[in-house]
This record gives sequence, structure tokens and C-alpha cells, in this order.
Amino acid sequence: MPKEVVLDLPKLTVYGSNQATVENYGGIIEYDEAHVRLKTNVKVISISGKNLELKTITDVDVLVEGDIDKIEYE
Amino acid sequence: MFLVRLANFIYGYVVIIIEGMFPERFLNICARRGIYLWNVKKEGKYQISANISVRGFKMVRPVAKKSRCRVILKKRRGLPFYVFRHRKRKAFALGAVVFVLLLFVMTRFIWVVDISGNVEVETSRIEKVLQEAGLKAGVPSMGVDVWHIQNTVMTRLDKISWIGINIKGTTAYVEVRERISKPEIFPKDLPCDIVASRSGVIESIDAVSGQRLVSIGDVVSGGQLLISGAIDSKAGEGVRYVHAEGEVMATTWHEITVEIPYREEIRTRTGKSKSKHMLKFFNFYVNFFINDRISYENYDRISYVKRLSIGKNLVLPFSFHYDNYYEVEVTWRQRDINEALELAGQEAFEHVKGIQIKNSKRELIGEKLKVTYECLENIALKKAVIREDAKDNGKDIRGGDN
Repeated sequence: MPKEVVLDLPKLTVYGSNQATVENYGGIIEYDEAHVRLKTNVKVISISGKNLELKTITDVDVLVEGDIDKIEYE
Repeated sequence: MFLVRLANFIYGYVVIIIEGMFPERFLNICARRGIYLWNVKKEGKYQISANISVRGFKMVRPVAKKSRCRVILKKRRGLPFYVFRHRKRKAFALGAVVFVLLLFVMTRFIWVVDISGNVEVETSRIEKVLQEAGLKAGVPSMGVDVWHIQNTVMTRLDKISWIGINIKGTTAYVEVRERISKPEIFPKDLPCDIVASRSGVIESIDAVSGQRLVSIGDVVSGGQLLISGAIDSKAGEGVRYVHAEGEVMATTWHEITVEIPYREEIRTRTGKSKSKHMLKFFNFYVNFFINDRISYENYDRISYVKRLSIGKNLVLPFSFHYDNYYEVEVTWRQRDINEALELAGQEAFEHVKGIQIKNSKRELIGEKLKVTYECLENIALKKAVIREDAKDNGKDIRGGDN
């Protein structure tokens, strides 16, 4: 069974350095061109970089596109 | 991804600006309520732009109120809005409809008949037979009875041993194979003589059946009887006729006279050129030139055709024809004597190809070169025997119960 379903954990998929998908997130805390902070069940995922865009937003996932420098858990 | 974008375009979407202190809250509520947002981008300090479907946009008002944001509609995009904006342009709509219809109709006809595989039978001849059988440019591809056409061509053109017709899109590919004609064989059960096919000196005679009439060293002339099919029986029973068979090798002389190509034509382009363009649709030509006279004395014409097609097989009945005329200056170059003789020799040799050559002699006669080839070849040629008893009753020459 997939962990993100059983344990209700966020799942982060990163392609190169310009696309990241966060599945099973709780909500958007902050969004601007340099930072995207997403609430999850465990910690806050903070993505920082340049020209960040939210390519799609649904109730289960967020697709962040742009020049990603850092992905942190806060 | 492309499919999603296409669907968005077809259903239509709007670009909105969300203005407020906490636009993130707006995004969260939208996500929770199942309002799909994409291409979310920060525009200013308190502004975010986003794409939203038309259906979602209608549900956005309470969300905006709850998140204390202002939603401004910036752009309408997609097919429904596009059609709405151009709803009064009737000719445009008509054009679009006509375009689709025309495309649909035109791809249902055959516009090109492509014939390949023929070497000796001219393409135009096959084309003509195909046309009469019902395959030509302009016929609906559904109505082409391939079976019938193949049969018609096969029966009408003896030279063709196989034909295959493939219809792909608007092109009919016709592939043919030609029959290799069988050599003329003298029927084995009929009596015959062997005569000389040309004059020469006999080197060897190998008579399998029949009566030898000449011997080694004899000089024979063309048509002379070499091996007779009529055998005189010694017992006095009369003449017996057989199918004479054998090989007669003889030294023969082939005299070939060819012109010596002292001069060579050289065509050089002067740099002047003219071109004619034509547009062809169906069977009509539209000329793109007024003065259609080519004033050059000598010219090379190079034409090419560009067909309008969708992909490789869906050729449409529109084509562009280019004719380029290049003025050329014709000069004659004097060839080196050895080079000219070499060329003439090669030409002469073409005539005796396949024959064993023993010797050759070259002679210059005026402007011409005479080459005499001394060859060794089989001069046996079968010829129907004329029977004396057949002569008596006047007709039956070929009957052979003897």
C-alpha cells in the first residue's frame, strides 16, 4: 500500500530543478515568486527559487514550476 | 499535457486577477471546493493572476467574499469566446465550413495515378488502358473496381504479366511486371534443315541428326544448306525427313562502319534565363506570365511540379508548375584524334557484343572508321524443310507423320 495513502504523508516528486509536485498537501501558506510554502501533515514544505509559478492547484496536489534553488522542511 | 490544453481551449477559460492581502487563502478555498486553477503567477505585491474554467469562474464569487479578495476578469480565452466575438462575420464562418467540406470531398477522389515497373511498355499506353477501364485522375476512389481494372489491363496488354493496384489516400499506385518474351523455338516434332545464318568459313560441324552437306574448311554463304533434314535411304525406300540438329562453328567477318565523332557539342549557359509559372487545378491551367515567347535560339528547359498534398498520399488536385528556360550557347569542340577513334571503336564494338572475337582490323575511310571483326560463332539456323512429296499434293507442308 502506498505510504502517502496509509499514513497520510506528503509525497514530493521533483523533476530536475524546475518542476516539483507535492501530493497530499494541506494548504498553501505562502506564495510569491521566490517562495512557496505548503502545509502538510508532518512539516511545512518550503520551496524557494526564482520565478515560481503554481502550474496547477487541486485539492490533492500542487505543481510548482520555476527555477528551484532549495526545498526545505521547516 | 497537450490534451489538457486542447480541452481547455475547446471549453474556454478566463484569466483572472486575484487582489487581496492573503490571496493564498483564496487558492486554498478554491482547491477545497474543487475549483480548478492553473498557471497561478504572482503579478504584484497583492496580486495573483490565474486561469480558471468558465464553470469555476461562476462559483468564484462566494470564495472571493470569504477570502476578502477582489476578483477581476482580465481576459476571456478559448473557442466559445472566439466564436462569440466573431459571430457576425458570416463569410468567415462560411469559409471555415467550405474549407472543411472541400477537404472532405477532395480527399475522396483519386488525383494521381502512379505507374511503376514498366520498362518496354510506355507509361502513356498503360495510362490509356487504365483510363478506359475506369482509373484516372478525378474518379471517386470508392468506385474504383480494382479487380476489374486489373483484369482489363491484363487482357488488353499482352506484354504485362502482373499488375497490382494499391489505392492510398488520393493516389493510386499501379505496379506492373512485364513478360519476358520466350525465344522462338522450332517445334521439335517437325522436320527441318539447318542453313547458314551468315557467310563464313566452317571450323567445325557437329551434326546430332540430319545429313552433313559441308565439311571443315568450306566457304559457305548466308542461307546455304549445311545439315539437311532429308535423308536418302540407301535401301531405296525414298526420302526420310528428320528434325536436323547440330552446331556449326564458323569464322565470320563483321564489317562495321561508324562515324568518327571528331567534334563534340558543348552547351554552356549564358546566365540568361526566363521562367514560366503555371497553377493547375483539376484540369485547368492558370498562367502567371503574359509574354510566353522564348526568344532564345538554343535553350535548356527544366520543369518541375510541386503538388499540394496532405502528408504523402493525400495529394490534392492543385499543383504548381515551374518551367525554367536557360539560354545556352552551343559550341563545338575539336576532339583529339585518338580520343575520337577510341569513341568510334567503342561504338563499333557495341555491334558485336556477345560474339567471340578472334581478330579485329581498323581502317580509316574518309570521315568514317571501318572495323572488321573476325569472329567465331555458331551459324546454324533452323529452317522448315520443303518436302518433295508435300509439293506433290500441293499444300500440307507441316504435317509430319513420316
